[in-house]
Amino acid sequence: MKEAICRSVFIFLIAAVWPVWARAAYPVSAIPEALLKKADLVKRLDEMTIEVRGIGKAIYRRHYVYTVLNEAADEYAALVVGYDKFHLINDISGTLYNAAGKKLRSVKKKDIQDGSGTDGSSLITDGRYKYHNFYYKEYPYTIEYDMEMELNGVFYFPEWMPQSGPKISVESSRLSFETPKDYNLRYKMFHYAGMPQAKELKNTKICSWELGLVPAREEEAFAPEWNQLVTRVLTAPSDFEIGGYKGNMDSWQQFGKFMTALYAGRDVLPAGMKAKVRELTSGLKTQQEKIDTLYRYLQQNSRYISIQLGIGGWQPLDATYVAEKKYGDCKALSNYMVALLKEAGIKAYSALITAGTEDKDIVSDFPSNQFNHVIVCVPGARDSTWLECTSQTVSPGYMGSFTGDREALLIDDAGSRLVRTPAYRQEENTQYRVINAQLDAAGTLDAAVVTRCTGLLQDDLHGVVHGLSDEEQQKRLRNHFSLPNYEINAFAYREAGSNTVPVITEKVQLVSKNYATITGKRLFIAPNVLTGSTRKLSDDEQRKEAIIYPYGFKITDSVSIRIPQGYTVESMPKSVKTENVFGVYEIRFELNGDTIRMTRRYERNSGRFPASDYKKMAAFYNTIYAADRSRMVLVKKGE
Amino acid sequence: MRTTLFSVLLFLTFFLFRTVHAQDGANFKFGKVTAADFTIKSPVVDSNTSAVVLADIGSSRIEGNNKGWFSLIHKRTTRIKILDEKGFDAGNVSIELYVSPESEEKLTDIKGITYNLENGTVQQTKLEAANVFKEKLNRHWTARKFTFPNLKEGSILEYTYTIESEFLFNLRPWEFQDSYPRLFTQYTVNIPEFFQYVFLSQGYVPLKSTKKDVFKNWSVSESSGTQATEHYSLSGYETQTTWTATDVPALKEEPFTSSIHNHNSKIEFQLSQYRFPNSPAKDIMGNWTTASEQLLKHENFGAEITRPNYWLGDVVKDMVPAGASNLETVKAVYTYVRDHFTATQSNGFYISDQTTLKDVYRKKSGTAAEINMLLIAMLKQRGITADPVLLSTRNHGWANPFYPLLERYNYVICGARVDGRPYYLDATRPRLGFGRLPVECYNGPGFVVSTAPRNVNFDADSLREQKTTLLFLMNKEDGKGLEGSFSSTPGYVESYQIRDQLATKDMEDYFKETEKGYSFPMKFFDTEIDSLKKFDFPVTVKYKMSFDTGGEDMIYLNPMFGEAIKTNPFTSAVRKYPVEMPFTMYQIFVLNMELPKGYEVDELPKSTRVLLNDHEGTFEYIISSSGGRLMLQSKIDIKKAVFQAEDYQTLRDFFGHIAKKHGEQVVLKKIKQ
Repeated sequence: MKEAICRSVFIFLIAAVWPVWARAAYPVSAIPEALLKKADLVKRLDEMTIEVRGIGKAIYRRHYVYTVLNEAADEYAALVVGYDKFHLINDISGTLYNAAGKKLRSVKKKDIQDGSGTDGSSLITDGRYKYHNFYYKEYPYTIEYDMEMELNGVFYFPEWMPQSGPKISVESSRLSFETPKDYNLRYKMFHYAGMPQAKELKNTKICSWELGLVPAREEEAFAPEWNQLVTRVLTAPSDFEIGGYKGNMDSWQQFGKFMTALYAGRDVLPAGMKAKVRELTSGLKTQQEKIDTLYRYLQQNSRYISIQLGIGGWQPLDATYVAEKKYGDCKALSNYMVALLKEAGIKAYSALITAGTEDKDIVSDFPSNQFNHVIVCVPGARDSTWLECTSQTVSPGYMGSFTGDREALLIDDAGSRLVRTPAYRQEENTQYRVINAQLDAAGTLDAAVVTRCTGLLQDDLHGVVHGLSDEEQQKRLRNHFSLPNYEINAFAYREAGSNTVPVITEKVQLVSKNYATITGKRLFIAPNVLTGSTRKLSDDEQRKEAIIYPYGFKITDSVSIRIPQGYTVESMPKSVKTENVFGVYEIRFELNGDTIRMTRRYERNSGRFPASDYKKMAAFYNTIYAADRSRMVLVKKGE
Repeated sequence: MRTTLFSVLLFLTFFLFRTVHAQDGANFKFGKVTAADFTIKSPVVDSNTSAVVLADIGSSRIEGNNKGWFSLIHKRTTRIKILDEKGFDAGNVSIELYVSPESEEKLTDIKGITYNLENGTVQQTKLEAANVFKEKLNRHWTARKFTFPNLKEGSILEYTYTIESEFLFNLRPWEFQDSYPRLFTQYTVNIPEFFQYVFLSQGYVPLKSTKKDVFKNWSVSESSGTQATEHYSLSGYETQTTWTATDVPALKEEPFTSSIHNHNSKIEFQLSQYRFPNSPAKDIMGNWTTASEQLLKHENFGAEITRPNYWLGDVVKDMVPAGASNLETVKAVYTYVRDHFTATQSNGFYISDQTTLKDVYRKKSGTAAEINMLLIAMLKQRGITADPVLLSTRNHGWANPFYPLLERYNYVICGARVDGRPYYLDATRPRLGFGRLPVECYNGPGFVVSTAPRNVNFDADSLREQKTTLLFLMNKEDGKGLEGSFSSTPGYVESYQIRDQLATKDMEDYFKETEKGYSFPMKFFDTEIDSLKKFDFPVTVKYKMSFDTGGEDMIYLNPMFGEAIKTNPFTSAVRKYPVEMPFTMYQIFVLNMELPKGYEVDELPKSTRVLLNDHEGTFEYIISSSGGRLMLQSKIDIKKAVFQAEDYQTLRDFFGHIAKKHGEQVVLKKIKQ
């Protein structure tokens, strides 16, 4: 699936302000000891100030002072500020200090670089950025930046998450809003003790949050999303205005109404296309058949091209444009798909969503712009059908790990609402592999491998089947398995399965020359030819966070290897079985005549497990790691 | 290996056996696509082809302009067929244009059409001007970008444009080969006799070329402010050269390639002389001597190091201990610059516009070129001979050993001479030892810019990566397994990588990962890395290890432990152009191990010795057991870094042997009581 994340969340990579006269030096010696432990970066001071002047006007200031303790934190030493039609940079200034807090240099205008924000995935955007870096390397050192930006249109505010990542400690951080007295600033706090400070001024009011003395923390495997672990405050307007459009986002209905206005009148199809829709669907009986047919038509007759200019970051190119040009971005293609369905008498909706596997869950009780992608939802009598319109290949209704199992906002005027996309259950995410092989006395293995993958476990193969040429597929297979010296003699892929749970079967004929290592009269082999777990966990770690398995799966292997004549098994690995809250693992070895059989079953549950289960998890993985590498020794008879 | 020119000759003979399909380029006309054009038959189009260039036709000529000089007129028309969705990217076009404060390249007559075959008839969809976007890339380049409308699998798309340029040095090169196959590609260049260009071609595709001279007139006009426009007329011969290639296969990058740009077929042009009637020829490109002279005078290059730079006197004095010898001085200055200056980017050898070495010194940062030029200036300040040496890094392709083609270089280092010995220094990498160069600098000729200019060679063949690993094991006191010490001194390149990793990673984590790398349960203790801060030397990674051997009747163990080369790095079955490894190598692993208590050897792998092409490489695996001990020595010695395509199979087999041998097991059995 194409990683089609379009811009609806403009990233405030940085920014702020503080009166120049209030500057103090920032010697490293003043950092509390506790903040240096396990830290690469200390945020000495980090201030975000937003002065709301009206529903569509605000000034955003950021002032921050970071101490970079070592090279690993160099990436935070640069200032990167994105800007576009709605975000105008007024001023940037900054200073570099050495470890003693002595001022070394300041930002010079000519040292600020300007770059295009158009990346490889977009044809054109109006996003650009300013970049500055002191490029200092005597550690530790401290940088200070001030930035002021004018928001010409307000659709969202930057989020406040002082501890923005692992190995960062926070000495002092502050978020402050100054708004007109009648302005309704909405907020949602996470891991924040107490309430924001409120203060009334003559014509305005101030609302602020503070955080200080937070030691660094490290990242753990299978942990919850980072932003669920640390202090974070989301803010959003009630009434707002952007690009000449006004709206309110007190509720998802209101938010949806605003989006409906942006989309209004953009679903008109040219006459020829209307006729085409009728021609395609006239003979079809069920709604599902019509959806599938029109979706396949869209896939075959359009492609993803990202064009993001001004309000076009949120408003789709109209259906006529897409019908003529046969391209568009996620919202343009989705809007076009909705128009095609409408012509066929089927009610469908564009749905805003957060795509990707990380930070996928929106804060559903805080209506605000938390989305970066658009898909289509067709409500049905029992189940809804979800359509990813930026892909030319995915089955109608399948969401995968890119957009599955999360909430999306259906754009339906006053009926706008959050709806969950399908999640894929353990039984739907499977891999079943059968290997039939023959081993000769020279150690060469000739194997026929058939692997059937379903649901989330076929997502990668989907990319292989549709994204790679024959040659590239072969190249991938040649590097895919951890076998020494092997050749792929033949391979094929077949797609099947229902639309909601796709299936891909991979058939590979491979010959591995030194599969068995030979020492004199013995052959050494690992019967688990292709499916070895590669994860090993240290069992002496102090686990802090809960353990999260986002989805479950079942993997089964069945291997038969005919051994060369004249050999017998000298050493047979032990069968292993282990079962706990995380899942089941079982591997069995046996000899039937001249054939070795190995069966392996690995089922992982989804769920959230307490940190105290960590030792159990480490033992589980380490058992699997060792058992997967079990070796068998064959020896020549009568020698 | 070093120059493409030789390889071209080699490959030409090979390609002569191919039947060349003469596609008729003469009939090709923009906007004229018929249903028959949708049917393609060509030996270079197969199941891997997702888009194919049906025709790519370009021309460049030089015309008089109205600014009293000449302009380059470049026209290009390209027709591509999209075979499947994987080829849609060919429908996104970006045309880059050069901009300077005085002038910019102008793009005109841009047209694009998508053709679809519907029910036997050809439907056209035109590109609209409003959908051609402009993007500023950087100070010198802008791009015009567009995508084709109504593009589907099976579409033919076609575009044409003209670029008018006053930058005569920018006579556009032509690539006859890239990632899509080309059925017909042709470039025609018309050059008046007043301008001399050197033609440089490379690659393995046979080009058909024709040449003819025509007598012609050029008119040039110039209007300066209030004065009347002046007209000049010149006449002379114009040489037209046309290169044509048909059925050019796609070229894809394989592993162990320095740069694909060294291997695709292309032709480039270098402005070398002006030769106007009644005036002496004016050399533009010149020879190594004139190029050196000009560079040394260049404001953004030599001027900064040839001027007195008195301000540096005190600066350098503080870096160098009193009474230091010349060599000690060079080392001290190098170390200071390396440790106090940061390279902001490393592509290019000029000093940035409006930047002086003083600025670089003040900012303690600059481009790689600026920092190494500062190092040169500092050394000169102390009376030490130091010259800039221009290089082309590996991913930038080769520099030309015959002509001083400056755009072929993208990097500059410092060449110092002390007591008659040369030292090549790059102060832009933290932790790089004195006299060491980054791997990517080993890419052929380097141009020493000095009053006595010369070329020096930095071949990958001359960079040797030597690694020694020792493992001693003996029985644990409790008799339940083995323990011992591991010590490995990798080559300099690997040492540099380890230092790099440890700059941002805890040592503890580093060893934890190494520990996990063993395929069986293993405990490390007494971990340390020697010479981690002594950047001039390789590091030595040391640890003690301990593991159980279990109580089974038989013990099977791989005597290479974690040091085995498990898989053959050469996975492709065939190779179309040379294998370019970054260095030659010598790796030795020695194991001296006490047999676990109560066990004896049942079987050992066989000792072996394999040669690569007689003397280009050796692999030795010598194993023996006596007196309750097991001894192994594995040695890999590869004396060449670059191997021709025809040597690929041998090289692949050689690594296959290593992987096989390194996988073999020792069998130990319990001594029967």
